[in-house]
Amino acid sequence: MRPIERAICAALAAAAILSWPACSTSSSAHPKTVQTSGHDDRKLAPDFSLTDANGTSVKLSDYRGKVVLLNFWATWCGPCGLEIPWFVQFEQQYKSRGFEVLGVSMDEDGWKAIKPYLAEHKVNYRVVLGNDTVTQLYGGVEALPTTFIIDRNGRFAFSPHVGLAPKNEYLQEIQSLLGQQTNASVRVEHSVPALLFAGATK
Amino acid sequence: MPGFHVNSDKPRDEFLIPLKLTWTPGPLEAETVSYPKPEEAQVGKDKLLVFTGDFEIRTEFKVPATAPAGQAALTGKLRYQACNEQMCFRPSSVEIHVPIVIE
Repeated sequence: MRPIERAICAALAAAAILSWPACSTSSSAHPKTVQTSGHDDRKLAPDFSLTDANGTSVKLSDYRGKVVLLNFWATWCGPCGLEIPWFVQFEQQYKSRGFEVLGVSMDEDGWKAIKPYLAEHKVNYRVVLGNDTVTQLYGGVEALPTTFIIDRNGRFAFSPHVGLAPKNEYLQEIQSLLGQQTNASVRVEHSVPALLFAGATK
Repeated sequence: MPGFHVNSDKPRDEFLIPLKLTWTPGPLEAETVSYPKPEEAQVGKDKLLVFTGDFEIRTEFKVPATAPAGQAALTGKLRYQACNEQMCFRPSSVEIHVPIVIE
């Protein structure tokens, strides 16, 4: 490796978190494993398939890689209605960082009850219609609201919130997970910009 | 249960599930069902009309001329949905069975 290339690689290694392929003695890019969170002991959230307001089938596993606030609620549940504006705010504030709210409505009257409520409360996140099969997967869900915070690996990150919970508690949990790195492996491929070696001599 | 309420028969919010007593057609004809005067309960910024504790729901029945004398039973269902300030239970119903004697 030429002296100029060694200097560039040293500077880049100090600043970057990824290996720069040009610094490698091999011609192929190294796969980079991002720091694991070490939370594999967390229980996996049961997958399910439910339908949203547009008739689209939605699976929890579709959200893998994102932090999910999974909220069981109903239009007739007053305490649920107190939390919904917070969830609207969270969705707006954190969606770009890989967070989403998924509401599971337990309204027996179905979409004819749910859709007007969503419009009136300007709900900006996806809502699906729940059923007893899914509530059984999640421990019964006897009371509403019941809310689970699920990490990017599809695992329960905290104990469920049964009943109305303080807004700050949700915020702290969400923010702690958004700051958390995943344990996915990624391959980075870069082409070395010719400009970087401008003026270098062989 | 202490701390819990059920919605009144005429809740203010259209999304809320009202308390409702219905009678199955039987030996007597249910004419009017009268609910007590509700209380107001504050939940968030909303004032709800609710029933709490012990309360009475009265039903007036008419005895048809063709009703056979003797023992009989009135059956019905009470549908309710209970909450406190923190959480709500899913709507539920209880079956009602009232033995009577028609003379």
